[in-house]
Amino acid sequence: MKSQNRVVPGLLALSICSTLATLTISAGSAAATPGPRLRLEPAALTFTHAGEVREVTLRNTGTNVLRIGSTRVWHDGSGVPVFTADPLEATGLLPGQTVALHVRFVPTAATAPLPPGGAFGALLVPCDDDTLPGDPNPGGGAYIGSVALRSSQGPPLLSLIVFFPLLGIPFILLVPRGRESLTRIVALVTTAVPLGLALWMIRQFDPTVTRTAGTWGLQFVEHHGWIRGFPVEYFLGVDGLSVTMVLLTALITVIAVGASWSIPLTQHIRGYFALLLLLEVGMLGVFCALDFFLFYMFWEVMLLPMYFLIGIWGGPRKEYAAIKFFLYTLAGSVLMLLAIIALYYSSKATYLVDGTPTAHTFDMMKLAWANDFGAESPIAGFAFPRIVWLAFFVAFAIKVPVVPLHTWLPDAHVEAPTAVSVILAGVLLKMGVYGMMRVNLSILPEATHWAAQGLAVLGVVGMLYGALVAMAQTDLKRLVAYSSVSHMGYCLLGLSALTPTGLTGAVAQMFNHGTITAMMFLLVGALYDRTHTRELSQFGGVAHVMPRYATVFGLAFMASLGLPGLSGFIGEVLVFIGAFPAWQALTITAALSVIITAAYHLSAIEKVLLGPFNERWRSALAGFDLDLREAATLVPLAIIVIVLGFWPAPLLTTITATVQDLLTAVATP
Amino acid sequence: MTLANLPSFRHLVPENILVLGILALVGLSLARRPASRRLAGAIAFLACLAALAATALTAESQPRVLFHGLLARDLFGDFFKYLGLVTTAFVILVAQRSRDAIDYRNEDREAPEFYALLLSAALAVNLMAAASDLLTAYVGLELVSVMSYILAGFTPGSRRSAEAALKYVVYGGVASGAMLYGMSLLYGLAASTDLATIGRAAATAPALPVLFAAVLCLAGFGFKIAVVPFHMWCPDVYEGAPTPVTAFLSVAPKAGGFALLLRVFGQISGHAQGLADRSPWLLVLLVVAATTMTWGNLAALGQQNLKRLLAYSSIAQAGYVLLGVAAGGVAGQEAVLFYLAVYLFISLAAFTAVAAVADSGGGESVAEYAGLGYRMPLVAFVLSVALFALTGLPPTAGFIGKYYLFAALIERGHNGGGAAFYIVAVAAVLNSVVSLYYYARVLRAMYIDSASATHQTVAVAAVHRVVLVALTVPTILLGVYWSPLRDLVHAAVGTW
Amino acid sequence: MHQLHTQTVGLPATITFAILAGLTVIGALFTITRRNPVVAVISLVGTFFALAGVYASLSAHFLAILQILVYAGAIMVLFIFVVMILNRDEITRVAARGMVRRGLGVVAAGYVVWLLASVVANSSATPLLGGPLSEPGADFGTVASVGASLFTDFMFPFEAVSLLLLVAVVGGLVVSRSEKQEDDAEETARRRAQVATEIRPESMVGGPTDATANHEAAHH
Repeated sequence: MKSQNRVVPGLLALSICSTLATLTISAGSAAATPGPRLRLEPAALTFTHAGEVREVTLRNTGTNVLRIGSTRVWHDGSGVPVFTADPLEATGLLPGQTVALHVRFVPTAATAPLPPGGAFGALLVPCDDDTLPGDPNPGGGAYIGSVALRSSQGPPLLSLIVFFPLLGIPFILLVPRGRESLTRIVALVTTAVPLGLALWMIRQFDPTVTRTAGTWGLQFVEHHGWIRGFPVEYFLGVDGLSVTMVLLTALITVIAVGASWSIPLTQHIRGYFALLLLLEVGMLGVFCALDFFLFYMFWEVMLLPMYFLIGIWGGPRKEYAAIKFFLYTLAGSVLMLLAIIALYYSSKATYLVDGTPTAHTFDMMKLAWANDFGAESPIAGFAFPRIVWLAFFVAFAIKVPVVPLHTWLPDAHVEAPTAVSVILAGVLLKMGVYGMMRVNLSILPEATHWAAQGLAVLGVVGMLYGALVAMAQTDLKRLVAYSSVSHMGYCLLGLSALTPTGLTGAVAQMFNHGTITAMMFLLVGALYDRTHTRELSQFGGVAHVMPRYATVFGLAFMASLGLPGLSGFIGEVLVFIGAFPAWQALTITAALSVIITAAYHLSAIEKVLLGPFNERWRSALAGFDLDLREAATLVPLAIIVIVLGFWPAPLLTTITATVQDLLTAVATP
Repeated sequence: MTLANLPSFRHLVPENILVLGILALVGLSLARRPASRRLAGAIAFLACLAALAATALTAESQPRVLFHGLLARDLFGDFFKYLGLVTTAFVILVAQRSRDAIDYRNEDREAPEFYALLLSAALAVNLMAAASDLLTAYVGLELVSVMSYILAGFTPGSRRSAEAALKYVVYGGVASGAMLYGMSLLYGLAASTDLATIGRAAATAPALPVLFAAVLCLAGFGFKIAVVPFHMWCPDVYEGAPTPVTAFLSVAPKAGGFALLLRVFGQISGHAQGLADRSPWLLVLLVVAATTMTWGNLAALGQQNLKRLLAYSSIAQAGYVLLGVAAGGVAGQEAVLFYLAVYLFISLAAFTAVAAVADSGGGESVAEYAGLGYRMPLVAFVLSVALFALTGLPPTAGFIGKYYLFAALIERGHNGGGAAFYIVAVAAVLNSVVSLYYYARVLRAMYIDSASATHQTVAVAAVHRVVLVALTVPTILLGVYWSPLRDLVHAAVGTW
Repeated sequence: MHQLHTQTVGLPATITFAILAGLTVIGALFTITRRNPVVAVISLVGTFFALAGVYASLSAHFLAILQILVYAGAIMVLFIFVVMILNRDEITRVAARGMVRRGLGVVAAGYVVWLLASVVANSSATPLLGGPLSEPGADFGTVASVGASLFTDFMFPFEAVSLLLLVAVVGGLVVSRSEKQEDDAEETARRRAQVATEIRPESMVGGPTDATANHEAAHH
């Protein structure tokens, strides 16, 4: 009886599934009606070496004469043409008749047989087969069959990086009861692999590639169709901007896993690591996705794990902090969704990567480089690009966060467990600025010019407000949280200047702030783990009992206040230099924040490390200096901070070309 | 082509199978021995599957008109038949182990009758899906209403259930009356009940009477899909009705209502100046849709009973779908169909989770779900996915559905529909933020407020486990790869 | 419809229609305003009679007779149904609660009334009828013609309605049977709890559903 209990419903469910499958198939077959039918074989061609020649067969499989117009080759991206095909004049094909065409792959530079980032194109065959998907001019009676052409791609490196953490989730969930400590190892391994791949990728990355060189200046491109009849594509790629962010994300996540050792194993540890890995997928995906739909999906996927990570493993007011974070970010992102849809419907007709014609596109590169939204009719009396720009800006500004949309940040940071704070400050805040560069700057340059001054004001307000409020904090973690608000203001100011130096400074500030704040949160967490308090007034003289801790703490805070010789200085000084020509008065005002920043950082160092030791913590702190695990998370970051402080060239050269491209976009709207 | 009576039956195989199933079940209940719940369930389930298969196998891309123009057989109608039948099949399974529909602990009470009523309701949804004449539309609507009234009051000895049924009857009667008045006006305009003829007549008719008739008809359809101000029955009925019945009501009659709405107004509004662009009709639809989603979401904020909360949420969801109707055009209709299909999986999953919790002795209040994530991990996971999908978060199918709806609105606004469409689109997305707040309350209860609750694992009935998984897999899969559903929807909308 | 009649038959028909229509409306108003269910149902019967009169004045004599015969019978079923659900002489007030709910209802009703008023006000300028209706044939409204259309053109809805009635009867029986068992609810609840304990011991430690069931039973 019992076994029947399980089998019968299973069988029934199976039959439901099979019926649904039948439905789908019958719906597909029901659509076939007689007429002229074009079949192209093969449907896609991949070329492996220069000069290669392949054959395409055109066949009429229908019942009527198929009329074919002159064929042509279309190239995706901004590069020079690399594919050529035999010309075919307008002709008619009898039912069953075939024509063969030759397609050649002739990259221009003989030394670099494959364009960096790969080449994508399609052979377009206009005809009167009205069952083909897409129609460039509806009602015109012309339909287009296509053969996708592409140069052979390397291994799907970006897909591996983005989705590798997903592989770890089943393993973590399958860890047997009683052996929960294994979950940490699995999580460490599954986050270490993307970091390794990201390091390898950045070694292969060619920083000289610009927009004119290949596929919009992107490298490691993966570009495939996704949904029939809907122009979303699986489009991943990196330029100098995103490759640094991918590296930062992969690095910070490994550090965060290291910091998660302090989460008790009894506290649903499987769920914790599973969510952390899911979060990493979302973050990496946002930086790699170049199809707007895909970008939005990754953007939203981050919300769920973040909500639970703060809500389940957070501090005393975790419910409040978690839901506040969730509501704020969702409110921003739904507006972004509308803006994406509005851009989509305003975009020009083009082709998908496989050559299917489409009336509109989600391709962020085509939106940026092949569309001009200035002429769109206004919405409710507001200029179209500006209102769309504002919608995107609000979504990203909540993430940055820009004062006055920042109020979720202190709550989320204070309540979140250390590892989540590290990710939040190290990566999530950067997404806001990344989004502004990728979308507001490059897709809506006109509106960016219009809003630049406002951006600068918001940036300076954030710098000053964040610094002033941080100065008033008595809770160390809150202080660090507000210092983030202040530091992200630098990015905004650098961005608003629209000068090469300003933009470079903003990107450098993003990367350096990510590593420095991660250190600061790790240090706060280490102290909290030992004393269970973060009140500044409770500490003092920690340097006497924990010398190693004090060293790293001093280093992190000095880097954060912008001490020359440490990485924090680079971004700040570049931002100031870049912004000064554009906004002189504002930049001078902003410089005030340097003084305030120095004041509260030094006061924090003084209150925690120096002065008389609070004897209350002797049992908790003395003899408990940084252990090996904590050192393993802090030292790599410290090395990066010091090295980039003296030798920022690797970071700056990586982003130079992309910054130039961004500025071209803004300069020539 | 229009077919006479006898040749029409060839295209009515699914409905005939359902009728056979109903008769078999009625016969079973008349047999002297108390009928087994299993046998009755098996008959009903098989009838449902057979009807589903028959619908799929006899589907033709060429639309046909049956019974001298009373019924249409096209892919559009077939799509809604799939929705109704799939829903019914799942509900039959869920009801096998539900305490409040047919109480399996209490000598399998009235199982054959319950399933017969359920199959009749499915048949009624089929009629609504295929109706091409006001007469069949009304018969289908009333059949589904009467079945719903009885099913809602099915819990034996429950005052709540009886009150729900009564409220349903009273509100339903008023709505039907208003709709009949509207239909009589349409008949007066066209001297025919055939929808196509009415559509032609409305094209030349003066604007005001057509608008008046359309608004009155909207009352009847609006009652079935539970839009403001015809939603008053919804929370009471959803809360009071047996949970499997609530699951059924939240999907199948709604789908039927939208099928009628699209068909009737699709026929009329194409030509009629009373319902054309920039007419008050569009404003009525937009206002009703916006009010519905806003009111549903705001009222849900304070609910403590999960079934009631889901009832208000389903009102809000109906508002979203109505946006697609208002947006109109191919994009709007495809969005409606897509969202309804997705909503089927989501809503059924949520209510099945409620039924599974009730089956293991849990209550219906949100507070009693505390710690569910650790007591019943599968149920809590499925419910979470369903709630995320209702909010419209990727990577669930709920996001794709919402995307199509919003995109239809923006497209209409972009193509000269005016600023109203943009404003309503903004209202709609902000509404989904509001909805997150109360969905998150449930999530919080299940996963976060777990300190006081017991973490002892509780077993879930096998049939519920199977249904929960079978509903959640498509919810996620269709969120990542929705080509199959999109093709089905595209074919359905393309045929008429 | 009445316009057609005014044109073809003239003033007497208009007066007849006005009287019958007035009776219909008055009966309907009484039906929904009387607190005594019996008075309400009798008023409903009056409404149906007046409606039958309207049918008769439109030369649909068979329909008029059916209206009286069927509704006189159906009224009884309805009456019993109402009494059963209303739990004998107890009257449950079904009213929309809350200001917002009422407000929404009032706005919607107000819009419909306003529309109706504008339609009526404009009815002379824009007639409701799409075009002139053809004169009814000689066999219009006879048993034969009604039967013929029921079994030819309208066979399908006819069959569908018969199915509706069948299942409604089954449903009515089931509901009434559960009403009868309501009296034994307390015992049922106890038995339920017992059975549940046997089936599923682990869930029975203070299971809330059974607490609710007992609570519910205590109410009756």
